Amino acid sequence: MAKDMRSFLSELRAKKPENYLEVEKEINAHFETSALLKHLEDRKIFSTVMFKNVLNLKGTAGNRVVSNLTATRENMAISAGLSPSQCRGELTRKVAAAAKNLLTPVIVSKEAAPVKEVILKEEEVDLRDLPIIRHHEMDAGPYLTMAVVAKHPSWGAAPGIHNVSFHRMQYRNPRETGIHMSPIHTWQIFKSYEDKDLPCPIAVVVGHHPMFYVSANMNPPIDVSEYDLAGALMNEPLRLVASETWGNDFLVPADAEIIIEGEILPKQREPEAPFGEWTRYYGPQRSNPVVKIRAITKRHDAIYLDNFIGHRDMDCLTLGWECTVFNRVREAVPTLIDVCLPYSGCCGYHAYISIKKTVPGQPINAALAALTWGFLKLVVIVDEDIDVFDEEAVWWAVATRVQAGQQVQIVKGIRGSILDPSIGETVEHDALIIDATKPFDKPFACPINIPEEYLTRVKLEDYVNLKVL
Amino acid sequence: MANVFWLSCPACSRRFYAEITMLKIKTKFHCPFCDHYFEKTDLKEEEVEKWQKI
Repeated sequence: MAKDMRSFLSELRAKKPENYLEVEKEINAHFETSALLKHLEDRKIFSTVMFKNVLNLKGTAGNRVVSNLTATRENMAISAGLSPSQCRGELTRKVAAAAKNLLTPVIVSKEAAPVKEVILKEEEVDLRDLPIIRHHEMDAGPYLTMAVVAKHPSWGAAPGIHNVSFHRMQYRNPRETGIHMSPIHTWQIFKSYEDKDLPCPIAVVVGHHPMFYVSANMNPPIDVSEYDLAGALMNEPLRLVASETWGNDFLVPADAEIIIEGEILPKQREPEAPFGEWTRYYGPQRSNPVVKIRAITKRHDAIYLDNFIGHRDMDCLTLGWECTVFNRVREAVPTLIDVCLPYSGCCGYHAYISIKKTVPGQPINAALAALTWGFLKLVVIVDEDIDVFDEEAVWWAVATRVQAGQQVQIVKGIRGSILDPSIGETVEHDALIIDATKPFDKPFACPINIPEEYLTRVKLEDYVNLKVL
Repeated sequence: MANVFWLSCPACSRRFYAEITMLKIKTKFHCPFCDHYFEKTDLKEEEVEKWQKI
């Protein structure tokens, strides 16, 4: 059986049942699912939630919605074939290594593709049949939050280079959405069509294996198909099928729950957003392109997947970005240990990087390599004795191993993130590098410790009633 | 995120923000709260004054 969202949910229930929750009661896609997820978040509960009876945009009940699919690193570890406890550095290292073993997808017939069980084309399409979620108060409408496939008209040999990345899409009417694209790959692809006054084909992939979405958040070279990358991360070739609108010229994942095929219209802009973004701020209203929906294909009992953006449901972002930074830094500094993009830095603006320093200058090489990725505003480099997934430890290293006049640098005017609220009208930003490693060539203070012999001999249970702890 | 400016919907008076470059192009605005579409010219006088200062 091919890996998909259902196979992952089964695995999650078997390996970490406490990370899975079902809600039977009827609930509305209009703010209500978000309110429930917020209540759970306030209790520090980040379980994957299967809403079993959600009202769609027509008010019809009975739709299933999954949220928080990627809200814990434990979930991501399970999806990467690791145990839930291997969710820190082991996870990043495994996925970063897997990304180098690209797997060519296999193409299957429509009969073998679960996503073709129901096919709706042109006038049959009505986005209101889907439980598209409205998340935050100032959102301009319900939003599709899943990965979008695009394909450049001339990059690569047949079947071409499919690019997969996340783009918010605002419901406008039963057959139309808005779309926001940062000026990266999908935008370049769209512009290549728009410059010829042609519509740009896209497909939204709603409901697939978490590793599919991690691959959408990695930034491989532009000549690498993210379908090949998804196969690498899923450790099996991705199964693809011809799209309804463009046939074999544009392939879509066969094991998705729902595929929404559309065209970004050339030279047409409409107001889009505000929208609550991964920065935890609302992105402002912009004049953005419009998508005409051409077809929806789905399973008979399709499960709609929503990303609870701006909350913990961002580990597919974090892990993809973390692995991208990991592979770039390792090329510059082979003694790299770990990379962590912490939630406190929106999973994309801060990086903590540990290295085993073997020559002076390596921390700056590591930081500069990390900055080539694009969004980072703060890079802290620490020694191998610091756990980068322990934020207190990282800042203890900064507190005790850094002299600002010698170990802090600002790199000005590099490309940043268009969604950063502090950035100006361009996408340039400044980045802070903190080298919090110990000096290479002179003795340094030793951290305090209890003799190992005593730690072994003095057992807690011999002195304290563990039940009262 | 590009510089933003706040504006009030002429229909429901609730406030939201938009990218400042929307001031420089011919476009409508869309109120996220009441779904009303409107032009710059539909705004109250005080809103227009704020824009002129930007």
